[in-house]
Amino acid sequence: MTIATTTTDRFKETLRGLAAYGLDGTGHSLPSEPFDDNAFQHLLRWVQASKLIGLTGAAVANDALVVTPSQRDAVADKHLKAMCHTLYLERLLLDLTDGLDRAGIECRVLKGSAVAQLDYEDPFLRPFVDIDILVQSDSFDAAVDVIQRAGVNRIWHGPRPGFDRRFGKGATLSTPDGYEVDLHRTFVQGPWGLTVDLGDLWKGSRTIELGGKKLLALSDEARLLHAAIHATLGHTASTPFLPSRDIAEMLLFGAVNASAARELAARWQMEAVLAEAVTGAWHLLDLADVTTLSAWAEGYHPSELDERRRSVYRAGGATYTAKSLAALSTLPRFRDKLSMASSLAFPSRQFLEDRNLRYRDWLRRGVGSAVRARRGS
Amino acid sequence: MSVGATVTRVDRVLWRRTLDGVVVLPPWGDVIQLDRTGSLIWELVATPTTIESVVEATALACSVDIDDVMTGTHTVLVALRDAGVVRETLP
Repeated sequence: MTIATTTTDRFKETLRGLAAYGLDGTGHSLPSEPFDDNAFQHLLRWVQASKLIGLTGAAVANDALVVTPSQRDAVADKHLKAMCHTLYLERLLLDLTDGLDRAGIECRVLKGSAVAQLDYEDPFLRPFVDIDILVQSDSFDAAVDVIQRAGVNRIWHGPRPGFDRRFGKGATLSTPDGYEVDLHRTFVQGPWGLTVDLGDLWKGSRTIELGGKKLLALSDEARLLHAAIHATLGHTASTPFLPSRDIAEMLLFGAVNASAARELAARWQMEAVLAEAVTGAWHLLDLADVTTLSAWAEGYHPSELDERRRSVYRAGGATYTAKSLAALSTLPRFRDKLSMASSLAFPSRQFLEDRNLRYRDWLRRGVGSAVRARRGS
Repeated sequence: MSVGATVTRVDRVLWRRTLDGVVVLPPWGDVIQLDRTGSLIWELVATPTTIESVVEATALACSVDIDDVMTGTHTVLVALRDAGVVRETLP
């Protein structure tokens, strides 16, 4: 028991050291002795689950993580596979954005592919497992059609036609061989998805170049806020090693304008999300450096409304319905509230089939979600 | 490949560094793995470069005579051209 706990602690400290690898101001370090082969295999699984294989590859290549020759080969193999996966995803991204261009649909590249190219010294450090594309709400349905015509099919349908375009985060689609595409119109399901001023996302941009093609990503400040949402409200929020590193890269080495980022966060009612993500990253990576935003984040106190909204996203209660119902309060117009509520109360057959649910199960689930949503509204 | 020809990467080719070299993905087909010497050649053809310059730079980087790397460099360049990731422009 003691040995297992010690090994787990050693894994966790190694993961923190890998997440912070290469940052001068970190208090974390990497072990000076190699793990035995059995333990190393476990560690590699943790590394992959945390998407830290890029930083691990760099640490091994620079002899900062001490490994045996066979362990080095195992890291090289996992890293190679991760890089191949990202390349296939980027090729898909090029093909899909060609289709959107031809249809006259403007788009922005989000998350992994954009962050790897713009925020890291070398994209080799930042693997990703899917591609994320943002389109405007009024182009959303047309964009889904373009992507489906390219052979990428929708995994989950919205409760009713048009729901995603008006109230949802977006749609998840997948190629037959499992490459996943998230088409967004906003960043996140639920109340904080609807407080984002979607017009702001299209005001500034940064350019990335993939295979000679220029693609647009979000501005530095909008990209930071998206990373903050991912770190605090996303499905990796319990172990946000990579999202925290993304935030550290942006704030320590990027061109984020701190006042512009705070203004944007305030306009989107997301100062609490930004503050939590920045303090979380600073603590997780044990960073001594102080930036304008890290100092502000340390002193930020969330409001009661922030806390209520935050509770909707916590693990366990963070269902699709709970987040959607909690978003009702952020809609200013009664007819929108009614439309959203009725879509959730009477979802389409396709929506239920996607989730393998019967209508009465959905209703039962909805009542529980409504209670949670009430707390978060 | 012809004497005096230049070689360079074609558009729509994607690539990443790995621990042992680079991986290159053409617009169609599967990834191509290049070892450290192959990666050096890949770096050299980022902009249009004569084949002779690629051979010279490879020899210099590997600290060997030009004759020792001539055949190997040509072999890599032909393989990259045939895979559709490098374009040869005749003088």
